[in-house]
This record gives sequence, C-alpha cells and structure tokens, in this order.
Amino acid sequence: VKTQIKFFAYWSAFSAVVAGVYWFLSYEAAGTLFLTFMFLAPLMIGAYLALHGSTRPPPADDPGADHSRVAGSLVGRFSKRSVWPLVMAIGLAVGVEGFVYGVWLLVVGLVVFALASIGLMAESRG
Amino acid sequence: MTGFRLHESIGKLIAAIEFVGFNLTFFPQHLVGLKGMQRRIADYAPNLGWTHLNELSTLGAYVMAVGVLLFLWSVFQSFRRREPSGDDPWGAYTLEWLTSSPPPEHNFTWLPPIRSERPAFDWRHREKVP
Repeated sequence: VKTQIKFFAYWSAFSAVVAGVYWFLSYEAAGTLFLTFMFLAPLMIGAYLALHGSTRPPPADDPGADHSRVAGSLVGRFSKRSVWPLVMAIGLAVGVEGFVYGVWLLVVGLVVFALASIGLMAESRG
Repeated sequence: MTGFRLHESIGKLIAAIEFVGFNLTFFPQHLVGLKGMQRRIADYAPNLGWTHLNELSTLGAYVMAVGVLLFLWSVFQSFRRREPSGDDPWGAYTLEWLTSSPPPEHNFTWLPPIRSERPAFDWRHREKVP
C-alpha cells in the first residue's frame, strides 16, 4: 500500500501547488476550483488507503506472500478454435444494417448476436 | 520492439525533464488565454502583455526537446550496447508481454492461456498458481 499512498500523496501535493500558483497568477475562480478538486480527489483516495489500507493489506505488502494470492480468480477458458466470434460479428454487422434498412433487421442481428454470445459462453465453460 | 534494453536511469531522467518541460510549456498558456490571447495566432502586438508568458512556454518547449533528444540518444546507445531486454523486462501482467521480444510476425505463434485479468503473471508462475 505504501507505493500507492506515496503516488496519491505526490499527485495531490503537485495539484495543490499548481492550484495555488494558478490562483495567485490569475485570480480566476473556475479553473482554481477544478484544480482544487484535482488536489482533493487523490488526497481522498490516499487518505483512505493510509487509514484503512492496513486492515486488508494486499499481497504486495507481505514478504511471505505466495504467488497464488496475487493470481486472479478463474474467469473461464477460451477455446483454441471457435466459430462463435465470426457468428457474433455477422450478427453485429446485420444488426447495424438495421439502422439503414429497417428495425426488423436490427432484431434479426441482435438475435444472432445473442445466440453467438450464449454459444461462446457455453464453450468457455466446457 | 527492438529487443534491446533502454537505460533505466536515463529513462527516469527523461520522464522528469518531460514533466517539467510539459508543465512549463502549457501552464503559461492558461494565463495568456485569460489575458485574451486566442489560440493559433502567428503573431501579436508587443503591447498586449503576452510576451513573457509566451517566452516561458518557448523555454518549456526547448526543455521538452532536450528530453526527446536524450531519448533518441538513449535508443542509439541501446543499439550500441545491444543488451538483450528479455521478453518481459518489467514483470508486467498483461498479454502483450507474453510474446517474445522482438515479436514474431502476427505477434503470437501460440494461444496464450487466459485464466485471470493477469495472464502474463499466471503463466510465468504457472507451477505455483493452482
């Protein structure tokens, strides 16, 4: 978490300096307000991490952490060869044509697209 | 892209120079804008009070140019030193780092397995990740 806190702290400090310089050189309210938010937003995230980051420390903070702790959860498999992306593209192309030739074509395209999505999902689960 | 590694400290120096140069170039432009200068004008009367701020911007542009020259020199040096970068010098997570460096034609000769949002990490530590 330390690196993240440092990153947001530097970002916030830089924005504070820019906001101050901008205000005293221009006395212009709108830009200064934007820059103030540019200072407050990273400050908010940095402060949250500084206060609560230690309750759920990421594996990067733990020198004894295992690789499996950093690895994400399984999102599924992608098959080596699949016809569904092609069907999906055809459905999309037909659907977009619907904006030119009539809404009925859009419905046909969407149905083909939906079937291809279901096919792709079923394949990635198998 | 080339397969040769760039010098890391020079890279950090270039980033710092570009950061300073960029802000020095564009911050004064906000102020001259408030003083009434429009965009994309070639010249202006000397009594409008825009000169010094524009000079600062010019200085910033030269600072950025120094950064670019340093980068070109760094690329040239990497060709001279020919230090191989390896396929993934930064230990990155995402797919583009899973191919070889320099990459083969069409980028991949095999289909990389994707099991999470960090496919390169999972593949590199495939024995340890269940």
